[in-house]
Amino acid sequence: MRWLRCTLAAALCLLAIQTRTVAQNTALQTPTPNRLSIAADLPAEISGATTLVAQLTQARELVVSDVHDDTFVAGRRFETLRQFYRGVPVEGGSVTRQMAGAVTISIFGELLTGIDIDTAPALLPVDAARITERIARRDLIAGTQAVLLIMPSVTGRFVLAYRATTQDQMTYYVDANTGEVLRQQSERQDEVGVGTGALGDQKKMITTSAAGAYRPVDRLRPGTIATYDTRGSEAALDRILNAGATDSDFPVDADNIWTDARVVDAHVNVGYTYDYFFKRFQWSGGDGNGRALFAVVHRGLINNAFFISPPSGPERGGAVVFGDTGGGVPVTSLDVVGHELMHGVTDASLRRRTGAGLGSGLFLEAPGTTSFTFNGTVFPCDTTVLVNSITGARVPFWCNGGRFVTASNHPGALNEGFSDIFGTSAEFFFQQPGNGPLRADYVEGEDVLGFGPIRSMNAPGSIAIAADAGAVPYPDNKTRTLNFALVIISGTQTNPTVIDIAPLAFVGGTPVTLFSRGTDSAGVHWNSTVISHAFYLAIEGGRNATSGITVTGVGAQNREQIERVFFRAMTQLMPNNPSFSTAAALIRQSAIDLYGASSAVSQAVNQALIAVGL
Amino acid sequence: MSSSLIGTRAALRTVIAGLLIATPAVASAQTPRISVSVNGGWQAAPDGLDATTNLQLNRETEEIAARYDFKSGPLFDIGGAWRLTRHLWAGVAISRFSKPGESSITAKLPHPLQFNQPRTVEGSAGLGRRETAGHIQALWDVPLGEALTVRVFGGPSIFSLRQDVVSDVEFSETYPFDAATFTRAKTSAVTQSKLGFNVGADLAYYFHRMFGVGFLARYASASVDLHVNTTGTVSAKTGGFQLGAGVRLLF
Repeated sequence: MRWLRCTLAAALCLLAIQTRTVAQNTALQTPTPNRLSIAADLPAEISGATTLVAQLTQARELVVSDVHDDTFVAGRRFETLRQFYRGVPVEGGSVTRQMAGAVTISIFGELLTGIDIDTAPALLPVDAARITERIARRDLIAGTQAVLLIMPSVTGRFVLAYRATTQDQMTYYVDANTGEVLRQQSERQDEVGVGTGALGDQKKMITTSAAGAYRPVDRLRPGTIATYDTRGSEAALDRILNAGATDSDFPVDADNIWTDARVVDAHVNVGYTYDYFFKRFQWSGGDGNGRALFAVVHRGLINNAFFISPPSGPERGGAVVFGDTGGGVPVTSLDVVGHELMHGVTDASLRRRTGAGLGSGLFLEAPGTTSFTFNGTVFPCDTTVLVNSITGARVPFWCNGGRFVTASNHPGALNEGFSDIFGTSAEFFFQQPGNGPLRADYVEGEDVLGFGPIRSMNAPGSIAIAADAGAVPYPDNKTRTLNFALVIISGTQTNPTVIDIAPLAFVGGTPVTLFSRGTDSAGVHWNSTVISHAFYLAIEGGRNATSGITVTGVGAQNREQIERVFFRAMTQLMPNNPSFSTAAALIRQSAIDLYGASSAVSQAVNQALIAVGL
Repeated sequence: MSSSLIGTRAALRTVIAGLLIATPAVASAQTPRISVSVNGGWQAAPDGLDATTNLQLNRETEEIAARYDFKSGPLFDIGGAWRLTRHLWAGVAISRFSKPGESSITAKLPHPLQFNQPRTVEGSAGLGRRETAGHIQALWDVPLGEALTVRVFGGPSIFSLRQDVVSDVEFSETYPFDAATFTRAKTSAVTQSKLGFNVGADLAYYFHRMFGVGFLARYASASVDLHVNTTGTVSAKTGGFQLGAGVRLLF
């Protein structure tokens, strides 16, 4: 910024000796010959820049080309002025002034200086158009013609030229006197690069070229996909999510052959998931209508990934953030990425319909026992208090008839379960079924070495949740969900006004363990396997290990039907704060709506939900 | 100088006019040494050919397979011969055949988003073709009567083939890019020469000592290696069966 301000000072000095044209000699301070950068956002600078703009406007070297209101800040207005030289537009010369009423807030722009050429072209526009069409072997875009302009070069030279764009999105600059083609450039900025993922798999990277390098910005899909890299900086992550990203947050690659697996897998798998949602459900981008998707790779996030909803994130459009394992493996496999982006779909669809995302509410579960035993000591509900190890606060358990009151987070578990469902579905959409790397299966995160599988949809109990004492299997049935004792923060046993979740878990009313490292927000991930197991059974069929009920699935070849049932249930029917039973009811309804009550799909869905206790 | 030249041309015209009036329809004792033939005619359709062009698109190989089919068309042929012995002539002829052909094109376009997911588009394009051949001939003269002569001939031919080839295809596509639509083919002209051969016969009827009409039947052929892309060539057969009819002159 500092040098930009210096150049403005130089320009103002030069104005003293020449006001007819923009400063002729700024070589001392301008890094590029005959180019003047204006960056004025301090009062003194604004004053000088305003004088410059006024004089150039009076000289008809700056002409207002656009005025529009700021869509983010009320009362602000932007005025853009284009540079002209003897009535001919100067390519790349413009200034934008930000106004608040009559007050100028800032002036930024680039002006070309030292122009001294004859502006009478030897060629007519139609001649330039013919030359362009002959070289391109394509017609100009319908309704357009060659436009006369002054074309600057990086060397400081200026040429009177015509610019014309052909139907294949190529723009040609033709010398207005000699007819020589001076430059041609593609208007399509998207580039197909190639990258290597964490498992050594090669994939195409849609990128954008800018400033001589490539960035993971995909504008080929209807909604932009941009991937940022915090380079491990917590401050950068905080800024990107809360204040917006800058160009410096983009990872760059010189040859468009990408080797940073975290960037490659995040960027490509976000694109794949975009394609999956679009092709299966005509859901485009972040909100179903092409909103941009933003991915952030942040190696400071260990063994995790998360979605953050708008208005956080770049351009206030939400973001998915991917970390690394402790061993430095990016947590960016397709099912993980699909999982996080499904959170975005869930959030956007609920917000569109209800104004809020899927909630995180507690639902009371079966009452617990009257006491629990830990390390040989019996702790009765009525007399036991929980001590906060940090604050020292002592809070009683909530008891009803001497029994622990328990609860779990149904909406949260449904949210996570649906995300697992569609992360896995994205995997099946792009990968061949099977075991091993880059194969579609019903386990989550298995392609992240040293991380997964973290959950199983086909055999939830095969994976255990680590607890203080031993481990607890993931539930495959509502009767096996982890329910948590509650403590009373304020109020009485008969009228608790503020409660909190205690790290004491019950299954079916029986205390099973303590989770002193946290309750997973009352089991949002831990209990997610109930609904995701139902999804699995509806497709593949099989027997629920807890209920013993056997389900006839629709078959893997018809998985799309079940995916449609669940996607529609979430995006069209789900309320903000659903219980498991409400969710099950509307999933059944979704199947009936789509395929009829007596269809094999509805029967499979119904059987599967019954099998998991819903 | 100039008046002398005019006088010479006038004398030549007088001589030729006198010959036309005085010479009978049959050959005289003065044996012609030079013959000229001019024919218009028809050439059979050249053999079709298949060519594959490989280009780079979206970080993969774009394969363009084109089937070129040609049609028969008009032929122009002019030739001359010089008598070596009573029956043996040495001659040269030039033939030209020009007829646009048609190409049916199948292109496999790499997907912009994924490897190994090509989209197939099909289309067609008209392709110009021009064959110019120089035929060097040994001719054997067989009189069949007072005015009827047949010549059989053969020899090497030099073919120059100018052929439009499919160099790329243009297409339209929209997200999710799983299908594309053929828009048009880009073509470029390639020219290649090759030595071949010709054999044939020429039947002539002279209704005047110098003038006659004739019928030409020739088979001329060569295989030309056409560079249809940067990585390879395809063998294109040029020439074929040619029929023509026209005037015959003897000097």
